[in-house]
Amino acid sequence: MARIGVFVCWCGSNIAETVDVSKVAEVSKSIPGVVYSVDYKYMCSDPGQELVKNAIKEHNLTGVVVASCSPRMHEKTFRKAASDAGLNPYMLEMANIREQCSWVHNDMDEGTQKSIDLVRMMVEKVKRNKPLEDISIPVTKKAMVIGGGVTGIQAALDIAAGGIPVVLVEKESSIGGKMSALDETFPTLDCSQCILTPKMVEVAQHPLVEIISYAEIEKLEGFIGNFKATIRKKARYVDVDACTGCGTCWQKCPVKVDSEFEQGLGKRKAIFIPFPQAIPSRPRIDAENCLKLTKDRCGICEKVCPTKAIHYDDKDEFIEVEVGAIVVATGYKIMPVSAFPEYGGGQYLDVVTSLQFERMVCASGPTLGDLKRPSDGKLPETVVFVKCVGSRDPEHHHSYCSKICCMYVAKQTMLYRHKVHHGNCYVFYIDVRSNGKNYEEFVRRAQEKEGAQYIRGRVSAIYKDGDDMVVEGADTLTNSQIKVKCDLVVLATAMEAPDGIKELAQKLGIGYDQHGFLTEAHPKLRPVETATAGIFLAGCALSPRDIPDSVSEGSGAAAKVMGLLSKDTLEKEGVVAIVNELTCVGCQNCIRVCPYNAIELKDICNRQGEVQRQVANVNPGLCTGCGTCTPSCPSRSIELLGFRDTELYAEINALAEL
Amino acid sequence: MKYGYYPGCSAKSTAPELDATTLALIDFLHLDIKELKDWVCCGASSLHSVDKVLHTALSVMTLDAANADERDIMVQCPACLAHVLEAKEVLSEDSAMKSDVLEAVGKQVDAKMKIHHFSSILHDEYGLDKIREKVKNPLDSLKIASYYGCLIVRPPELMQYDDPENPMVMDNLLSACGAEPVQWPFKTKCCGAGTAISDTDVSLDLTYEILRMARNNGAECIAVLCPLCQNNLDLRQKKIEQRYGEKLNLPVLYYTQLLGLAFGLDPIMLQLNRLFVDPFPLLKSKGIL
Repeated sequence: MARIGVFVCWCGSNIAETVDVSKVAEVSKSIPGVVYSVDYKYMCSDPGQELVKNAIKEHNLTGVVVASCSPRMHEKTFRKAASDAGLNPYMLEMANIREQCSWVHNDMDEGTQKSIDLVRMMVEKVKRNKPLEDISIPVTKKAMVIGGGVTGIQAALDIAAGGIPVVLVEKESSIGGKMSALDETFPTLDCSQCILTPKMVEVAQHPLVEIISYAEIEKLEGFIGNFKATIRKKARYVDVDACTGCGTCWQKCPVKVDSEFEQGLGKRKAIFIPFPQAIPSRPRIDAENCLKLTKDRCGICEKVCPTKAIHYDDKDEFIEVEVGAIVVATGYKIMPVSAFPEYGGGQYLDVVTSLQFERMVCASGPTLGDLKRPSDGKLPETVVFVKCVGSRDPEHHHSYCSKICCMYVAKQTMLYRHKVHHGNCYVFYIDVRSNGKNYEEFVRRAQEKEGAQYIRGRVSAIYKDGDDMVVEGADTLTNSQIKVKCDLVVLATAMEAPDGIKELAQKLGIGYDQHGFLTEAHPKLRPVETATAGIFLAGCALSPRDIPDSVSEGSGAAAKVMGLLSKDTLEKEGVVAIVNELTCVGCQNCIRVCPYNAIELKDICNRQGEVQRQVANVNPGLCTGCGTCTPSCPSRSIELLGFRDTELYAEINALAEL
Repeated sequence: MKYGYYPGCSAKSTAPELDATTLALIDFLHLDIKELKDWVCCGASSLHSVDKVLHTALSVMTLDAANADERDIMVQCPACLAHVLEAKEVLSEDSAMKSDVLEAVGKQVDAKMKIHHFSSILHDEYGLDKIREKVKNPLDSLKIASYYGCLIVRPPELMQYDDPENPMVMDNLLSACGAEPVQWPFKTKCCGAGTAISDTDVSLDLTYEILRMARNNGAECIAVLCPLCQNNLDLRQKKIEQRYGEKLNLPVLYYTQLLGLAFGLDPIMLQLNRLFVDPFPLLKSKGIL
């Protein structure tokens, strides 16, 4: 026989002003099954909780209804109290007579009657509740970071600092990402390589970090705490263990192609490391351009290699790693000049992207920092920088702001003027957005002390007139059309989601937006989490960010990973979906609607082990108890524990007084 | 291929050489293109700024003429092309505009026909290979800047002509005739013809820029497809030369005239003598005539 206790809270005057709480407690006594009821000024206070605990023990209660605020507010508090008193916590329900009653009504009589109805509903439900157990999931104490840019490096370092082993997977043959190609960085003008390389070395030498370079995620299975990732190690044609990185091979290789790292401004060999500080400092062969691999000629690298590390028959290799948590830090790419036909569409060598400009001024760049324009090597006496190219342009390209361009353009004007003291530089802009620590001061310095001339307006066309480049645009402050003759044009093209990011997101089961940027669980309160438990995000994979933000997020994601992996097991609420295998017909409706990929088909076999039929099977580790599956089931074979049909019908019937 | 030719008012007045060469090419290439029996003026650049409904109604009447002839529409003038395409778009959706226009026309008009510029038909339907076969008198080593003007590519979603920033249709056609198209940045820059009467200076400035840029990129002559551009670049070239103190001497020919030359048609039939900047010395020096 059910023995239910009802506890009615005043919440000071929050509830008591509109609800006759004593009457609610009094009337509750007459509900069948209720053996005890009481009202109290603050039920959530320590004495209030004691009241609940004592009543459970004294009256041998089998169920409790607390009529107070929203379950979001204090359900955990009261369930903990019930549990302390020896009652299964899921045998306690909240009747929300504050948010859903007293706060939204004025009339005392109506408020009181509604509260009584709400209590009666929850009493009927709790009578039918069944005790549930929390789920405990074992955890693999190892993490995987996807993306070896500065964000991923930071995340890996912080996780490893917490004593947790990390696998750092990088698509390219070296870690370092975009930052390794930058010259100096805003707002302090410290050299990018000088601050990044020590971090690269640190992560490479950390005993708990394993770097898997030139590799991509092939498949991900499992769930929070228990992921199994298949990693494709792309054929490198170089045995990285045997190789010593001596460099003989790339010195002797006869093939020269455009270097991706140098943004096409310099050359590399067909066997190469992308840049001298590469980590691991082991080359790979570019199979598309290698003479041996394309035409079965040459073979010089194999002949000159002192350690016999070259293997032309190398194949992609698949390895499996088990990890408990994943950080996705896949970064960005920038739009190429060819995307902008109005700016020449890539036909003019002297219209470059900002990343190309970084290489042009960088001391380790193809000209060793000697600023020469690409077409004829001339020193550019006048440079025009164009901002918001492809960004803030919803009609043609991207609606979003790429966020970092205002700052790096200010920086690039300074780098330019530091190299060419008499040079002119113009910046076409829509707005100047410099909202970061010391950012506004930095832009003002570029404008006021370093001689950058800012013109507010967009550029309509860029073309070549003789030896000069001509930039045509509007000056919207003087309301005039202007033409600037210059030697070099630098386009601050938009940052975009990198190639292959959607496919990766689909493999990982995480969301992305219309631009291809990965989606956080909550834009403000869960900024580094995804909707899939155990997978975290950081850096430009989410949207354009600068280095400080990316590094902070790398650390933020690392903190989340450590929080998760600091325990031996994960405790999860028992509110998960459960399938009645006798009535499930395997229609897969629930599988299709489940947002968390928590349901799979399971074979039902006879005694001979032959598959008879298939039914839905919920992985309680992945199930979040959202309840999306239950109404999709045509045979009512999937139910959410804690919200079973019998429990919910009892509530509704109670309201209808059936 | 079965088109009705919509010449528009320019080809029948200020640009008879465009009309004549178009008909000559149709005849020479044996294309099934006949002048629409009952086409009307599209209202040109004036009417649409005064009365949008009446303006659209005029073009709808031309669409109706094509229906009556059971032909798709071939247009030569970019402004006419824009206006009939616009009219077709109005008829394709339910709007107050559509009912007003149909009321003005006084009948239901279907707009299922295709509408193309003659150059697109030659380029896409007739084909460059067949054009190459027909060339008897190749325009060898003639450096031509193809100037498309502003209208044929704008607005791109309506005109659907070619890459709006760097169209290649004329370049490809002329290249098939053996000429050397010049790559230059002002293919679709406005020549200011719209202000040629009201503010001639603006138009002269813009036209000078175009001519100068063509010459600086090595062009010996200019190919055009728009009667207004032709007028502006050719008729005013002398005035521009005086104003800027610079000898330009760039003949401005319709692409149809250049194709006709390559096909070996008679220069007088192609009305080369009607051009203000005399093309004969250049064509003779290149051995084309």
